[in-house]
Amino acid sequence: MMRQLCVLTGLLIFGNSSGAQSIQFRDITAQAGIHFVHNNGAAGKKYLPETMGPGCAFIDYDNDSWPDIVLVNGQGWLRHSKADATTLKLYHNNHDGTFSDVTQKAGLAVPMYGLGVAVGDYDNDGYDDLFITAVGQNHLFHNNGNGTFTDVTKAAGMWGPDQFSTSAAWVDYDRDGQLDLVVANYVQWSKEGDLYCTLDGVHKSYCTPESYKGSSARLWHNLGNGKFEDATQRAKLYDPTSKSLGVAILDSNGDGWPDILLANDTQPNKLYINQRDGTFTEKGIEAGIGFSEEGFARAGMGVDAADYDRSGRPSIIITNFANQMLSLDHNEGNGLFVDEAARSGVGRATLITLGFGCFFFDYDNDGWPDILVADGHIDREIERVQKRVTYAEPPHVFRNLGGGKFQEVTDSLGPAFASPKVARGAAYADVDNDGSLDILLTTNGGPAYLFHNEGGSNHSLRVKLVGTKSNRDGIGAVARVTSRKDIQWQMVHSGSSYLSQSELVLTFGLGMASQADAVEVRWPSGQVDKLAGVNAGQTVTIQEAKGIVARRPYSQPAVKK
Amino acid sequence: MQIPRYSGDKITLRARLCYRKFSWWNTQFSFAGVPEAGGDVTADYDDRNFAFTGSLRGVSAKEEKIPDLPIVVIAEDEAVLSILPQGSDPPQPKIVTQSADWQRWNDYGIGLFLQGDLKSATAAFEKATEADSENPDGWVNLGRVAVQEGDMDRARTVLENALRLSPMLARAHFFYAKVLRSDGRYDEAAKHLRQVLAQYPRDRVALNDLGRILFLQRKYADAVKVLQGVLAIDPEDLQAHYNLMLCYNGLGDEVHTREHQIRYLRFKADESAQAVTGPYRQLNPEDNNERQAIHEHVSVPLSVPGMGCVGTADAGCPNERSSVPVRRGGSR
Repeated sequence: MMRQLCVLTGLLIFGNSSGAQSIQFRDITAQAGIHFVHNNGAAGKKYLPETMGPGCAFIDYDNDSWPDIVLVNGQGWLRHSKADATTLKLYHNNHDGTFSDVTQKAGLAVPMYGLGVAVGDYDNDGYDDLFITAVGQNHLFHNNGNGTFTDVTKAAGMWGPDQFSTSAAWVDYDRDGQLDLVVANYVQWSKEGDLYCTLDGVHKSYCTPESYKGSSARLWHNLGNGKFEDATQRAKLYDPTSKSLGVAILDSNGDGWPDILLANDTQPNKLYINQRDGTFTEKGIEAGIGFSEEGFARAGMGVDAADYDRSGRPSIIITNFANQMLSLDHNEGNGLFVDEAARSGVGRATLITLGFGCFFFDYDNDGWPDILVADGHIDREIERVQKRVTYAEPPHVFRNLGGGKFQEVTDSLGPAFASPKVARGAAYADVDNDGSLDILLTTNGGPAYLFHNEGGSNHSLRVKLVGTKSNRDGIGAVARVTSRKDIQWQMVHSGSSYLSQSELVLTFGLGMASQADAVEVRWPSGQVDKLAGVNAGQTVTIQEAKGIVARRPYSQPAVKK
Repeated sequence: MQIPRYSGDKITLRARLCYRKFSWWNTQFSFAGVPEAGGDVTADYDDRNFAFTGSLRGVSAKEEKIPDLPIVVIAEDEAVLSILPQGSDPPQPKIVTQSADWQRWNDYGIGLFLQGDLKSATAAFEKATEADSENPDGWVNLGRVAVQEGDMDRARTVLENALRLSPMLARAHFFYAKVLRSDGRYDEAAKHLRQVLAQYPRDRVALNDLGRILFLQRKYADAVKVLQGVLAIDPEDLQAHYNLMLCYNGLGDEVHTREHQIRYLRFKADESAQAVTGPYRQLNPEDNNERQAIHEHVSVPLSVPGMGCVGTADAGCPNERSSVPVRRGGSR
């Protein structure tokens, strides 16, 4: 009953006052100077990794408060060809709606078959570092603070594992103030062990992962001296049957300790509950997130967690294969999750699409987390055997109506945005400091897209956290914003979505309210900072135990129409 | 098809599907196989030749002579084709669907559906409904494919057709409940499932679906009753144990949660088991081909380029096996 009352209150405050707005996501990729095309290496062999990537991320690598862009890239399987010599791209935000390719200058033009990316300041030097997952050797790039990065994989003790790594997330699982790293791994695959599969009996297609052995996720524990140790076994995370594609960090049971959620493909999803002693216990099965209603494993891809209904608890979204709905697992607060996909309105629309990247984000700043799902099938031949399933598919955006209900609004967000794509990675950030969240999408074997959020009139407040005793990024900290009688909260988190990471700055939609009455930050260290009367229309930087140390008012949109 | 020059104005095609339980060679070998001299025998293979001259004494079947297993004709049919003079215009194809064709199209559709070829299954079931639009089963099967494809609007339409023709048809109610459930219309879905259960109270599938709906509505105690009904029919029902585990978790009953979790995990298939077949499938492309839901059988001499490519992705193999030539006598 309490939850229903809260929801009703929220509806009165935001749902009615702000209403649906005429928001458009305008494609600004070309005018922004982003000319990235993903090289998946496909040359007819249909090797499994070809259909998986790529990921993307927002990182403010030069601390100028303007989010820059990382686009991960694959490469050809024959490495002696110039056309195959592609690398990831780092695009610097020029503060005027354009970006510049600074990959070479930044020292990031390192050959690899890259897939995913995680952003975090692992050495607490004030500059966010990059972890790139790959088929083969993953890479840790240390941000030198001068616009360049150094590949420190070997020095950090991470050299060696030759795996099919996918998503990754930084997390301070032992709350020692140092960011640790969870790396999801998919299957044991090699070119030599590639299997023949076909959808239509004629053409080779990409095999589903049942054909290959799984591969455990890996937990790298930060030793604090620039080095990491493999803590997977000790932390009881080792599970060689896992075939993980997505990783999300959430505090599932509200005990203040980060838990780990792995979205697995044809294996049960795993929810590792933090035991507060450096170990985890897997609770996904009894929580009801491991399997479909029939008790079978689904094809989990991307994942995210947020409190979408003001229950006070993080609920979960997991993208699945075509003919499987998006999972919207509502956190009941007793260790159980109940799938609300059908009743909420997100189920039917996602039934025939194959989702990868996904996240909760408040695109219209009405205070209610909406949902984005990036779609795209894995095989061009699918249309030969299924009438309604297509290779390129439109993304989904579901507007949160409050009361646990969503409405699909994709078609209203602009023809470029709503057009079919073979999307994979997805991330959000406010690229031009106008207070609204923009979207970055990657496509398999195709271009990346940057969509600018235009037309909204609701207010927002953006919060950047700087830890001192806690990790510098404030990852794991929870910010609660009170506006009138409404309370919303978000946790700073790395990972989520699929192979991707959104910005670490939190954006709180305030509807028509011009200020947040209170902002409370609970840091991983246990420190609680409380602020009162924080105006909307700005990004505030809150330093642990010190309060607001910087204010940056929103500017007029830098992106020219 | 190549038509012989002097074949007259008609050709009669006859087809028979014959069956013998065991191959002749295997039967001879089993009863009287005797190895000849020479040939290697290792733990991995037996390369000897066999003669079928052994004594039948000691053969467990206790037959005096090697049985001559009969070849049984399972099905046969014939069709008469008209032959036109060379160079004449071929007549426009005209498919006349008659009510007598309903069974054939419906069975064909079921086969395609089970094979996973939903697009072709839809076409076949459409033919069935064309042959006899008053037969509700054709509409139900169209609905079933639409549900599988996630085309719930289409499923709703065709299933409503079926229910109009046969308001008590349990299969139509069952699939219609699935459509309603995908919309989150749980009460209505439960109502249709209860119509099924009124006719078939021991239908585990319908009981499981009803139990799941009650769980989604947080009616945990009611769901437990329904799902226990499933276990009264089949104590090893995987889905019932899974959802009972969740229901008891919702009720805060840790003992029963644990109990059903253990049983669920006991009866659940090992998802990782299929990976064991990977190396074998790579080494045995013919068997790998059989594993594909939709696959072709190509019978050609081994000397034909690309023959070894069936079911494999080896270097030098064409990506489109349809380009592999099929000689006379071959079949696809």
